Amino acid sequence: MSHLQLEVEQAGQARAQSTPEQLRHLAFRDRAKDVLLFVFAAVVCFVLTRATIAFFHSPDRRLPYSDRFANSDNAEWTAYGGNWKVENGSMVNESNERGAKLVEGSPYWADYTFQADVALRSAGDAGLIARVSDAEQGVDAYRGIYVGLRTRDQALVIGAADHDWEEYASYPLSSSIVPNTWYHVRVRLEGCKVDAIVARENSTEVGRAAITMDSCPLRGRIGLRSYDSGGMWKHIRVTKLSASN
Amino acid sequence: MGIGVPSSRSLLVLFLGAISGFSAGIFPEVAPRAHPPEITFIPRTSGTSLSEGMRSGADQAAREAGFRLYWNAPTHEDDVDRQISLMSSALVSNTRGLILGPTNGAALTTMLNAFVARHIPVVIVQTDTPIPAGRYITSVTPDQEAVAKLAATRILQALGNGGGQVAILGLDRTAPETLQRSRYFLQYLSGHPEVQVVAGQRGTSLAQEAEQNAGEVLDAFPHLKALFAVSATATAGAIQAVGERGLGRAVVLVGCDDDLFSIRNVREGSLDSLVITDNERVGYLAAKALLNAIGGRDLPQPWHVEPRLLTRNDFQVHQ
Repeated sequence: MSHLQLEVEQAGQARAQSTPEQLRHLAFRDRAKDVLLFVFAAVVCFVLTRATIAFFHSPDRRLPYSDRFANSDNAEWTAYGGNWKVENGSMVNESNERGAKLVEGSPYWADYTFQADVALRSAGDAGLIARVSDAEQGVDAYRGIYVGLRTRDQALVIGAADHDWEEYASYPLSSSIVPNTWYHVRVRLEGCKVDAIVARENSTEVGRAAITMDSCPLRGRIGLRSYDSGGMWKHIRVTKLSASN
Repeated sequence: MGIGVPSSRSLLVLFLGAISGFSAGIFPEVAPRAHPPEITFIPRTSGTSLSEGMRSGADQAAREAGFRLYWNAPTHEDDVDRQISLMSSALVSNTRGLILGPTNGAALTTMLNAFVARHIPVVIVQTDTPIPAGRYITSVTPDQEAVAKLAATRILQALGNGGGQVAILGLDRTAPETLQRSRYFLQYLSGHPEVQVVAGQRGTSLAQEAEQNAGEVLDAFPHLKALFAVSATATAGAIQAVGERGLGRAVVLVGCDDDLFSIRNVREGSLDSLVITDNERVGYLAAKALLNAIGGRDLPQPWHVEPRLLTRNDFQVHQ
């Protein structure tokens, strides 16, 4: 006879010899034990579930993030329009489709610094999108913040899209935008405050802008976007916001 | 009895507790969220002054009625496949109504008939409805005859008694309003023999091609006095072509429909004048008609919105 069978038999014998008062007491004790067990299991599983969700939804998860496009495998990026390929350590959009986007990262990233080297392939505009959600193929078919270089007015542009476009600032650059020339674009997002700096590849700063929006998307992925021009991007880097950056 | 192997009853209680805890933890993430009812707006393309103005008006009407406006469009004005795909998605997602700026009306009749067959109201903007207007389909468009008359009057005024050669740019079969504008323009000028319309150049949705087309006309007719560009793209192309050839003072350029920079072009003088419609009003009226139809009222008959001529002189008024 196994240990379990022996315990069950002993318990059965003990109950058979009990008075009605003792039986009621035993039944109450069993129910209390069941309730305690139930509550214990529920609380443990609730806490574990919430902790797991909090981990996956953490704005710090996967940060710092960088992509140097060292190989042609870019499966983690999602394209919404455009014709994208990796070439010599940079991501290239060969299409002049308006509003072509390539998106990566965690949808829960909140306050961060996003920087990359950007080059336009022709006239138009190209840049970085941040706090991206609800992306689809379409000109402004996403929710997020865009910071880019626009040849038409030779400006650093900051705006927000929510399946429409609201331009918050266009700061004329100190020198004209030259297609196929690298510009380092750095965007710092803190709440609805957006700081952007553009420098040419020789490190000469050509533009700087800072705006505060009344309301804005507060979290989301990162992306590369071009409008008419196609573009090239390299040295993608996202870092958690800290006092130093 | 000490702590031994838990009984099957205890295991069952633990399991049920675990399930309950997990469900309570995951529920806020997976609980269905209530969304307001939705109407769909698919213009020919988005990101232009014309389309964004309409979106703004339609969005306002939708919000007033407690509806959400789904807005998306092809990234190229001639991408009819993408427009069919967006219409198909709207049909699948049980949209309550559709506002459409048809990219190529003839290619969209099957999809439009599918909406009508399901009694989903449709309002066409930018051009006339590709299928006959009826209980479930109507249109809100600029008055194309008035557009042509405003342009012709302006050109006649600019040319004076001497008249001269005029060309029309941007004729595009897939955008029937361009052909209507051209036809009314010719009708109006037929009473003015001093003005000769020497060319009717084809249209395109691509700005660079439009520039090339305008350039061909300018090169072929060196004595040209005026250009009438019947679409926003044709206008943008003509501005570039005229500017590149240094003909800004020699050729009077009258355009149609505002693009991102066309109003600035009027202010700066690279465009003589622009025939525009209040796009926000068009969007608002279209959405209002649609929402009324969703509420059980009949769609109105096709509706024409009056355009106006924007010149450098009245730029301040427009602002």
